[in-house]
Amino acid sequence: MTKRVLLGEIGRPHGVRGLVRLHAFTDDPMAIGRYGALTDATGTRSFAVQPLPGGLGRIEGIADRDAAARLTGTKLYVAREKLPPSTDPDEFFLCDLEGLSAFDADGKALGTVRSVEEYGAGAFLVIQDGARELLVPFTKAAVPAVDVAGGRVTVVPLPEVVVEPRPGEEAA
Amino acid sequence: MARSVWKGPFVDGYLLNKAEVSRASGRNEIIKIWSRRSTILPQFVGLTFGVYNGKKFIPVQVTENMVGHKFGEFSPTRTFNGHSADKKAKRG
Repeated sequence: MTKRVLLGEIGRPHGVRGLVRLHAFTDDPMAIGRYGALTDATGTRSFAVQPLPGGLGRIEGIADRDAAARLTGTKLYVAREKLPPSTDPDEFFLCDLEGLSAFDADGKALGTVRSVEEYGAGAFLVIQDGARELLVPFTKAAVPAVDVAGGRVTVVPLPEVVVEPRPGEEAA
Repeated sequence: MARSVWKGPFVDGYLLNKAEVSRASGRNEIIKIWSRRSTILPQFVGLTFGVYNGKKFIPVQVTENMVGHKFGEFSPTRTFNGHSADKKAKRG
């Protein structure tokens, strides 16, 4: 079964000519129209979506408000193969990294990559092992090997130094 | 209101000392800190901090562009679950 990636969701109707609010989850909101026809959650229906400025979208074959309203809440998926291959060997799609098994340098299982997050100071992997969570900077030092095809990443957790706040400083 | 220039940037002293020790040792390590209020100084560039957000220590790799900001700006305290869609991550 081919892996599918959630790219967006159809929102409420806009106007009487079949336009809809289009919630694009892509990096560039207009990119949702670049991957060809998108499918719904079941994979049975396909939609040719044309994003418009202002968060709106036009769906081929939908010309009136009632038809548009019936599609509200429909999630839009694309096959993973339709995403363009990365030219940079150190650049990965988040959807490829999520779900990989993490092992340390000795081959001991550390858990599964639950998500990849980035708050403006470098990406990091969130590795979940039961209730335990390990946050690892996504650098060559901490993640020396990424094998997407093999479904595993090698992680070398960096040593940690704790700088305790002095009494009274932690409350400020 | 802006902070007076004559005071200089605020940074917890113990943090500055620890960063200098870490830099001198040359080891690649995560320095776990609670001091979200400290300003990021040029001395911190290249180091990796774990900044506490009330629940966990968020890895913060300090780069030149971050100088002058506070550590807390890079360690959000509220959860946001976005969709991965076609987004990419680059290994630094």
